[in-house]
Amino acid sequence: MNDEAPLPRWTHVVFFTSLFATIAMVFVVLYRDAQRPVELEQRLVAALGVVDRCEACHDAADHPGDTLGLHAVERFGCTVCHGGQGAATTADAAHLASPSWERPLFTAAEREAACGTCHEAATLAGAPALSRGRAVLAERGCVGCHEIPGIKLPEIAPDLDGLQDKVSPAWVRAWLADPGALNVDHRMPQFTMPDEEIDPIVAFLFSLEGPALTPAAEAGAPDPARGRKFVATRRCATCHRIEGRGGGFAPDLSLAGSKLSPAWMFSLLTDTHRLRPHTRMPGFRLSPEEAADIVAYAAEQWVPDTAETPWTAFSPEVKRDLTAVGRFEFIEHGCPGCHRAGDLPRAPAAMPLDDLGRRRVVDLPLADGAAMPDLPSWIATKVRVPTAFDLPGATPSLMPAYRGLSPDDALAVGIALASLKRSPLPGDYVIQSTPAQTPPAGPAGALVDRYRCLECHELGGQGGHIAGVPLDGEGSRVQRGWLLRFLQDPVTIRMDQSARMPVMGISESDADLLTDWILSSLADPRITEGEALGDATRGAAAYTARACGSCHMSRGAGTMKGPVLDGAGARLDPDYVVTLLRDGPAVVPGERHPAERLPGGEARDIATWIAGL
Amino acid sequence: MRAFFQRIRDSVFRVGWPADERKALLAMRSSFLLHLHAPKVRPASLRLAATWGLGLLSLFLYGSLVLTGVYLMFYYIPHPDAAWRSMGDLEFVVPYGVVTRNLHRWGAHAMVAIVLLHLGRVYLTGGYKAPREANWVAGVGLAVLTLGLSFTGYLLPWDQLAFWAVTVGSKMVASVPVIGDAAALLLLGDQTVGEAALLRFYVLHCVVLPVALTGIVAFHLYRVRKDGGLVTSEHAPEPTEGPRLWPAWPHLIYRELALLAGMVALLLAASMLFNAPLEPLADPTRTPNPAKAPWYFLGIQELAHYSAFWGGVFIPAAAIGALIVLPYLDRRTAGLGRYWPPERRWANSVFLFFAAFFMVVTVVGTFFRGPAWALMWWPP
Amino acid sequence: MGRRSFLRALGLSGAGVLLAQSAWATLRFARAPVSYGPPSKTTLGERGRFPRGAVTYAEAARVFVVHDDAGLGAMSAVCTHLGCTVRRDGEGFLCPCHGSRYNAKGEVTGGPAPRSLRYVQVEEDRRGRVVVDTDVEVDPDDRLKLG
Repeated sequence: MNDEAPLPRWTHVVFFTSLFATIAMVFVVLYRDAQRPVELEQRLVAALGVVDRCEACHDAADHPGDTLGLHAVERFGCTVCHGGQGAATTADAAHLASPSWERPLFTAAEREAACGTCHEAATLAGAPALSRGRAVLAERGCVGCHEIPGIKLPEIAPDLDGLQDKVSPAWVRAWLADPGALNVDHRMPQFTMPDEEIDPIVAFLFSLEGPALTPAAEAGAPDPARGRKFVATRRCATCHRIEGRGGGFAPDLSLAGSKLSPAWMFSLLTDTHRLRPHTRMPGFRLSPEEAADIVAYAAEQWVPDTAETPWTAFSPEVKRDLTAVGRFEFIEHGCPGCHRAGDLPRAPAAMPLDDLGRRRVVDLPLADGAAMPDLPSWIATKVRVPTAFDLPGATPSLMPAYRGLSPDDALAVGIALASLKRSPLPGDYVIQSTPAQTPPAGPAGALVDRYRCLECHELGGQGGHIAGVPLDGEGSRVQRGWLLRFLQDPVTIRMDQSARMPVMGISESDADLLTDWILSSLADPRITEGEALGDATRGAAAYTARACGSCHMSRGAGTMKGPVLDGAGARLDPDYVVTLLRDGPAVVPGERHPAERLPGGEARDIATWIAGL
Repeated sequence: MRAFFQRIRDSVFRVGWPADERKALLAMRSSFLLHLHAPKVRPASLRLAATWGLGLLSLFLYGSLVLTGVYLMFYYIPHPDAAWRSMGDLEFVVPYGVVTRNLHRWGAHAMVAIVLLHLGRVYLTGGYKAPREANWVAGVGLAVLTLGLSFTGYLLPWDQLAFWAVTVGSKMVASVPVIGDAAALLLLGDQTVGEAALLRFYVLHCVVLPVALTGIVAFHLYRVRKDGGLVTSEHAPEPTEGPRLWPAWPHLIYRELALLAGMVALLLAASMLFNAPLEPLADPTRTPNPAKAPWYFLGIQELAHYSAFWGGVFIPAAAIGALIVLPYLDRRTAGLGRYWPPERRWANSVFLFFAAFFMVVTVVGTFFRGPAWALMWWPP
Repeated sequence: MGRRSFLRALGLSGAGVLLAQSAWATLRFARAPVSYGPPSKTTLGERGRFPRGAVTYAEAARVFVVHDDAGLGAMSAVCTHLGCTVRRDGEGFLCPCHGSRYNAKGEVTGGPAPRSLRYVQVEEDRRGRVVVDTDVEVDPDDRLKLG
């Protein structure tokens, strides 16, 4: 060693301090790690990219309900439905949000939305809010502006061609300014439009030519009183609100008088589908006199329009300029999404929502600094108050307000939209909705379209729910002669149902064709044919003993909770009655019958007795 | 029996413990690791302020990065479906996984910083001048490789930070006129950052760049000795008493060991105190706001904010080019071995000006840029 | 002992401790407490996949599912010699790696295999699907009775 140049002191200090500090720190690291479990259970679902270690603490056997029976934890893991960080091995890292994992455990709403990622059908048992949300998305016409997978644009908005024949400019101005002031049941959302946007839109709409109107009837003086009677006998109130009653599916007719021009109304009633090819209203067969009487009745309810409009004062040049601006505004506000107008394509104008479920609340703007618990709540707020998340100074959102939407429905919409994710799922995880049934082809199909049967009746999972009776299986339930008469003159069978089939004046030849189609194509395979007859007397006794009269009316006795049985001998197929009494109410529309199953002999006896009524 | 073990020891350590100067000199020649140093060194080179140990620290950090990198490779899977998940495994289940990743991450940051400081030190003391021109160029190459290693390693966790920093970086490459698109395609193996890019970056990070760096480091160390060791000032006082040269053992070796121990301790302490960041899984549909590169690239990103090509490519490339040609242009040999000699005032001022400029843009890019790269006066 | 040799001993033993720590940590590091291998329990599917009187190979779990009059059984297709997958060979089974032979019941008839093929546990889950657990060995005559 060179003693003349000793090692400086700092080298010793640094070396030994560092060496022993390192040894100490490594011991700390070793000790910390020794606290961890030596073996860990993890759920691997390669198809979903899931690695869940939740079962290090939680036991899948403790899962409440039977959800795991249908969703085996081996196949789904935990985080697909529950969120959180599956890979984590500490409670905080697994449950809470962190910079590396901004998906904490799902809230109840997010869990329900997660169901919808795989389940694509409109309704899903066990997920009521999701199902409700999907229904609202369809009913409210959200798809007019937003592309939403799985939801088709319903015909809820009228075509606007020929609007000049239908309403006055003043009415359209008032409607665009505040639809709620004109119709409490309005379906069109409230757009925020200043007058300087409304006037051009009106000008644009009134420049659109529509189909020519039907020439007015020349026969005698129309009688409003007769018109009122016709409205009642034709059962317009099944769909329309009339004098404050009924309706809910179509516009309030008491408003029609002050809104619609009589000539247009007359054309609609006499030649519905030429004037309005896409309307949901069936093509009634009304005589010109009948139509004129109804128009007279509607006109009687006319409320004078006091609104002033500068419309008439505009020169043609001004109108032309306004029309061009109006066309732009009309497109800008996304109106063509729901309404057909001129040559404008019906394309969604707003952002597609097919990947909304992947947005995270942390990335979305906040309303007044108020934190949102989850994505469905954020969407619900946005739907109820579209401007809630507008950034200061930015252009206000163009989205219209859905005033009548309840908080529950708004949250349901949020859940349905939060379920939409574009990321591809492995095919065998997707539960698709039942494929859409094509409507019947040929002449029968044309009649089904003309009378808009599927607006009210369900068929093969499609169609409306206004009527309590789906068309599926109807061919096995009723007799030919009765159906033929019923189509021409629908008598009310079920007093408990508020919706009555409208009297559309189906002609005998049309009824014949429809009856053939129903009987030949719409049979229920569960109903066994050719059941032997029983004994009517024993049947009558059994009817009494089983207290059928507590719901059914027969021979002047009983109640009207269920269908009236007088005349059922000509109406019901006895095989149907036997099957439903013996095998249970699965074959009954809506399964509205006691679930009790009778012995075969007794069922045959009662059916035989009913066949004699 | 003792003789048996003695024979084994003698076969490895030919000289034995260098207890006296003669043995020390023998050891310095015969030991593989020690012979990298001259057997005797000038006392002036041993002063801490002569180098601040920066070159050596760079080397130690590189060694520790290779070591921790190899550990990480046992668990890392270079595929978009699995890379981020393997980060989660390191965090949650692999014993010492977190600390290993932290050592690698903080070691990489430290290496970039220290390599750049080393470059600055060599410049200021005129270490690039003859006969050291080639070694200076090699050193510039090492600095560039270090940044390349850092850039390629940045993508591997496959989190949002990684994905978007590399997307931004590759777009800068693509902004080069004429060859930009081809170069970006070569780098990414595809039009966008994806599976091919991850695999390329992995191979570059774990094989190509380390092999290149190791080779150039060997050349660099060899030339340090062959070019006469550390550049020292002609004004440095000669020792008035004692020998003019000191044996490297223990004077140099022990100082180096102390530096190594200090560095390991500091790195380990930092890795126990601070966890390496990990952001959410890379999502090509969602850009974080702002998307920021690692701090040592934020200066370039700040410049690229004004012009992707001029700021992001041209200025950095011109700076590197200038550093490479510098020793062949500046041939005066006065004022070497000192940080602020009167003869080099002008040269050092220019360098410090550029260094300060780069530091300013880096600080601006790091602390004063908020969402949408907008200026903001208060760091979040 | 002088100051110098004390420091030397201190430094060297410190380095030794550090080395030992690193060796231990390396061994621990190399053994993560989770496995990405296939789980021992595998759901094979509806029982209709395994017709009565037939021996059906179920790739997912590397087992032959035996459905005889007594019920369902699962015979591992993993050769007891060195773990290759045996294949059908006439009535019995043949291992392609080193030529071990087994008869129809899985008993060794030739080759280096030390013992007959293992039978593993068969269960039904709540939806009536067949599940095997290759970690649980059962008697070759055990069967899952089918209702």
